[in-house]
Amino acid sequence: MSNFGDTRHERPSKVDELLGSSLMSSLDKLDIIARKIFSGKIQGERRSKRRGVSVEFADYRQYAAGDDLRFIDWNVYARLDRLFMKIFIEEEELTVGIAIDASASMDYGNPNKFDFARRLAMSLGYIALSSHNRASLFSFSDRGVERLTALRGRSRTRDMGQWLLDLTPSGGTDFVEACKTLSTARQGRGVLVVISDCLSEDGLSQGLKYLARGGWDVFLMQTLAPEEIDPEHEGMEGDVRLEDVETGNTCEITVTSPLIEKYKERLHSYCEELRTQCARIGVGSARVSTDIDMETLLVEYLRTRGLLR
Amino acid sequence: MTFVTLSTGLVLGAVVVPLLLLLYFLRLRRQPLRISSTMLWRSAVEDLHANSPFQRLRPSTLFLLQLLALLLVVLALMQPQIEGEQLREGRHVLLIDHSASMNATDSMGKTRLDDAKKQAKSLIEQLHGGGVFSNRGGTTMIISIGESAQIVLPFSDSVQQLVEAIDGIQLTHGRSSISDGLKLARAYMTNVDPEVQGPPSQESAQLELFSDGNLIDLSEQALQQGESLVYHQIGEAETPNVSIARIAVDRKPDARNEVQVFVSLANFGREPVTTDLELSLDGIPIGLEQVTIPALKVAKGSLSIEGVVNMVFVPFELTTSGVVQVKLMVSDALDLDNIASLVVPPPRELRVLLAENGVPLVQTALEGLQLAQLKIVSPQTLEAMVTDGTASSFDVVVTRDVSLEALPRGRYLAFGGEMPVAALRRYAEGEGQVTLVGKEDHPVMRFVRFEEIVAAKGNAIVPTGGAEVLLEGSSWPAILHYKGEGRSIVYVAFDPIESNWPYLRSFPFFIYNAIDFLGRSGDILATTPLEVGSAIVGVVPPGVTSVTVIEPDGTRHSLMVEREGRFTWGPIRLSGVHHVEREDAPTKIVAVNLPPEESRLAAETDVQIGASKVLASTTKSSSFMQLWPWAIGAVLVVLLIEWKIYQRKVSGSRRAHTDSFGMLQ
Repeated sequence: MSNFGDTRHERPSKVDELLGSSLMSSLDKLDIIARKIFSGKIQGERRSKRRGVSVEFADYRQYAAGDDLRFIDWNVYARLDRLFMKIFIEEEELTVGIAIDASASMDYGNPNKFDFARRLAMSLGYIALSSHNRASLFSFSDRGVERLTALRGRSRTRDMGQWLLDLTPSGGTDFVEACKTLSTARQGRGVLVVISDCLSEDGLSQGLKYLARGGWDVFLMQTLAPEEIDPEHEGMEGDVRLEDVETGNTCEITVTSPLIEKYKERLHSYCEELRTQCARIGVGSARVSTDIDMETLLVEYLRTRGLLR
Repeated sequence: MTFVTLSTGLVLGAVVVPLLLLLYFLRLRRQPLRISSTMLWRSAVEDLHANSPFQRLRPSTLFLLQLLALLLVVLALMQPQIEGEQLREGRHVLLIDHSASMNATDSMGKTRLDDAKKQAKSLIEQLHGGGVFSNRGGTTMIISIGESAQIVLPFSDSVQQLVEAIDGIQLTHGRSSISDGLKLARAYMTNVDPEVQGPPSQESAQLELFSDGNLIDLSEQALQQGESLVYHQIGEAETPNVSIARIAVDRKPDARNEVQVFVSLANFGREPVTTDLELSLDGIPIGLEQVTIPALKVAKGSLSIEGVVNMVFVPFELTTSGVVQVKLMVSDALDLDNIASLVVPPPRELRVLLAENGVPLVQTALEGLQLAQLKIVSPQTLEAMVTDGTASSFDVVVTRDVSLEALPRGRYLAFGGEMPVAALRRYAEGEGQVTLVGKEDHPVMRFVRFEEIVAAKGNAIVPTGGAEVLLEGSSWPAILHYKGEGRSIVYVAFDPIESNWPYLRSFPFFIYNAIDFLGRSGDILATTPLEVGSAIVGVVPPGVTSVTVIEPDGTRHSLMVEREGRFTWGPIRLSGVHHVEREDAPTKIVAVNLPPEESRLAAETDVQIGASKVLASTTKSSSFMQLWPWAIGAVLVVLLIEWKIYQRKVSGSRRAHTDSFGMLQ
């Protein structure tokens, strides 16, 4: 058995290895952006359609019995002799959902896709908690959806990290069922970042529709290993029998330049089709290679993609 | 195409081709590789789930090239060969013409003999080209044919020996005769086994004639049972050539110090040729004449007559001997026949001794000749002079109606009487007759009109060895020439008094010719140009034991003089001036010219041997060719291509890939 695609680096076993202190300091300045305006149960840093308590003025209304006297505009009362209440845009808390594909196909590549996904989830979770948002983590595979919900405050960072460390990739991917579950798992409105290699033979469009209709502001992070992007460059050669780690299907090939070119064409068209589907249903998407620097990804790449600010 | 070692190749192919397939399958025992998903690969490759052996044999350039290379190797081991005609087993006799006409250079500057050798070697390859892994049966014999035939190599199956023998054949300047070659071949084909009773058996053989077809005696031959002839035409059917057909030099009878040169020129081309003819004496040019030689005349059918022009140079004075040479200043296919030489002896008056019975018929004629001395003696005195040897001081001894007891070395003109020579022995008295056929080209018979001669009686003689009939009568030979044992005799077999000859003009002409012919026979080496293939014969005084003959190319041959003072060297191999050296006398020069027949260079497209007409073989251009070196070369090319494709695949896999995939969008 060739070691092609096997993870050669050390796997993370501590929370610190998922999120280093230097990266953490860089993430403090970031916040997750929701392209939609949601209402939350408690005041957060997110604008809400509901008028509430904040510093941003929205409108006036006549005083009614029972109103909070602190919001009466006394200057208007002095001029008009009538009581008007100042109405402010309420800043609600945001639910940031992070869903990790925990199927066996994610446990592949060098750097490992699943490790990359955990580090990315850890980083996004930390950003969410730092921004006083509510963070929920999900992992999905054909075994179902595991979750760690309603985390608030930076103090839950370690819990979040430990939960991620405890995840084990195995089994296949049932993306549609997972999306159905995720669409109903929302606690309030929020952003759901799905991290997956998106290599599903059943297709992703139906699942993404479930998520979009469920009220999530969905952002799909397609994560691919370098071995999947350019297998020949990473050392795939000769006559090999490819074995699918999820389905067990085999495919015998002789690695030739024309075959590699054809594979790349298929990969490119598959990704492009996925991106088109996402755009059609209002799902943001990005494609990343696991060998990309995490800070670069978060600070530069995802900011330009509008997921972070 | 045939295969020399077909079975070897098939066995090898049956082993190695399945072996390659096996290796291919073994090599296709693919390395398992776990990947995240085969979804995209499946759509990219064509051989999904290809588990059966036949499905595995998908088109693979490298595999096909390897298979091709292997098959080419197998093909090479089979030793394929292309041949012009079906292989012929058994015995073959290669008759290679190396006569003068084979010196012609009518193909790319190479001589016809070179072409003949090339074709002969090609045939050798065809017959014996068994290659490295096998040895084909059959034997081949090499015979060179020219004026005479020579076995270059007896029957052999060694290609190396045969090729070396062919390469060793040298050009000659003589005619081409096949009869000797056939005799030699048949002698070697005859199987004489002392253990087998009965007459010797003759094995059949294939005769392969490499010639331009100009063989003087081909039509006189016939193929024997079991023989077959293949004619390999050498040279082109249309080969223009001009030549000096004949040269003659004569001193004027009335002015012996003046020499006249007669030249006959021939043109074998279809266009007239105008050129210069140079005359030189002892190598110094003394005359130049422009001459136009008419073109070849084509008669009905394929018969053609060469264009001929005769020339006479202005007489020039020559008080001593000298070598006259004429040269055509033209360059054509055969340069050898553009030069002819002749040696002119010094002028000399003759001394004649005459003994005659009866009326002085001969004396009257001799007195009219310009002689240094004419001594007339009685028959008895002549007998005594012959006995004591004093007669030998005369150039010619003339007798009429005299029978001598003995005839020592000397030159004699005898009318009637009986000669003590076996070849001229009378067996009966000849009855009256008329003369019928004369040999007009003989010097003795020149200008002799013999048709009117009637003899009443004479000596009936059956000419045997050494005697040549110069005039044939209705019942018995009338005039003969005998040469042998140091004697040269012109014998008239009847007494002129018994005929009407003394009253005819031809009588004194004959006597003049005969005296001149016999009297100057000491100069025979000079006055008559010899031809290639003949022999240089001479007589030296007593005491001389050896002479040396020097050929035109400088080759020296030392000869021992025979008991009677004669020496003979031959056959003459080359045309040109030969020198005969001896210690006691100045060098004698002998001129040898090319046989005029060899100037006809038009190669025959078919030859007639006996009643069989043999067309030229068509295998001239289709030479036998071994293909295995080409197959090996093709293997190398295929391997080179395979290596190139493999390298391209390997280097293609190392091609620079896209930078960080995160920025693909």
